[in-house]
Amino acid sequence: MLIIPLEREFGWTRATVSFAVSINLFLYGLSGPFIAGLMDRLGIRRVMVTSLALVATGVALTTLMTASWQLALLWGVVVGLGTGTMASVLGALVANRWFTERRGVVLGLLTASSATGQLLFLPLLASMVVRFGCEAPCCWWPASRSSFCRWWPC
Amino acid sequence: MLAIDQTTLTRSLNLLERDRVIERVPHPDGRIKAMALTSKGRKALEAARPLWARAQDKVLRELVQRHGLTRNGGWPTCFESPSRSAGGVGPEPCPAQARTKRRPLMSIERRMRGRVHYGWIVVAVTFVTLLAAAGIRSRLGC
Repeated sequence: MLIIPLEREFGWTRATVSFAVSINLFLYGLSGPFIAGLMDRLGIRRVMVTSLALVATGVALTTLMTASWQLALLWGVVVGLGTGTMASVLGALVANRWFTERRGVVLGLLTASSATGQLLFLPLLASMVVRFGCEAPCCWWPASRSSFCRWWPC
Repeated sequence: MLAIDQTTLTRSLNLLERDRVIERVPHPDGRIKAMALTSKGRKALEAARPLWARAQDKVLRELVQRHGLTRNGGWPTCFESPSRSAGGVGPEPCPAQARTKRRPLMSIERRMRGRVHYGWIVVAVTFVTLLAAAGIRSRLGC
């Protein structure tokens, strides 16, 4: 969604942006088993709060970035690891811990939530790009022109 | 065997181990964590057993007195509605006194029945979190 705006804004090549995305995907997938172990050891609540804080920090800091390695670090490593916690592992753990009879229903619901998230957010972001310009959905840097960007929390 | 959550059990065992009431002992199967009582633990158990029995006794006695529950399994021996035992088979209808005194337990149960199970709240929170995470990730097209 925001690959092209990023390219236009910073003059990065598609490979640069894709590199951050692939780090993100790699860590998102790889962290699953480790995070499940961490949740067993420390408790789901603590791990979730930590990773949500991590994601929020990472996403907020992307608005201040100036170089492409910062995108790789923030979007790739920080957001990748943070959202890795909120993958299907979490759904399976919750369904397993709280339900016996309706485990299937709950697992299905929680798996569907990821797809629902994309389904909801993609059109929303797309319409924002169309209506307010390319920087609107995230205002990648604070000096963005419109006043909408200045208070839009990323 | 124990109806305890895994994390709860681990935490309780760690506390017991910290106080040197139990200790880890090696087990030939590496996947199994074996624990044994230390001498201190055995002494503590001996001291605790009569206390535990007395507490158990007290609670059960009060339940029987106040709510007309029996010691075996805690179920009442009488029917609440007299019409159901009209045939003369099964438990006797409750005396009027017992019926009114059993009300506290009944009302708690009724209140609990209407409420949503806490698990569903957990599911709702998890659902929103997963949804938001997917939304964040979708921003850079993946």
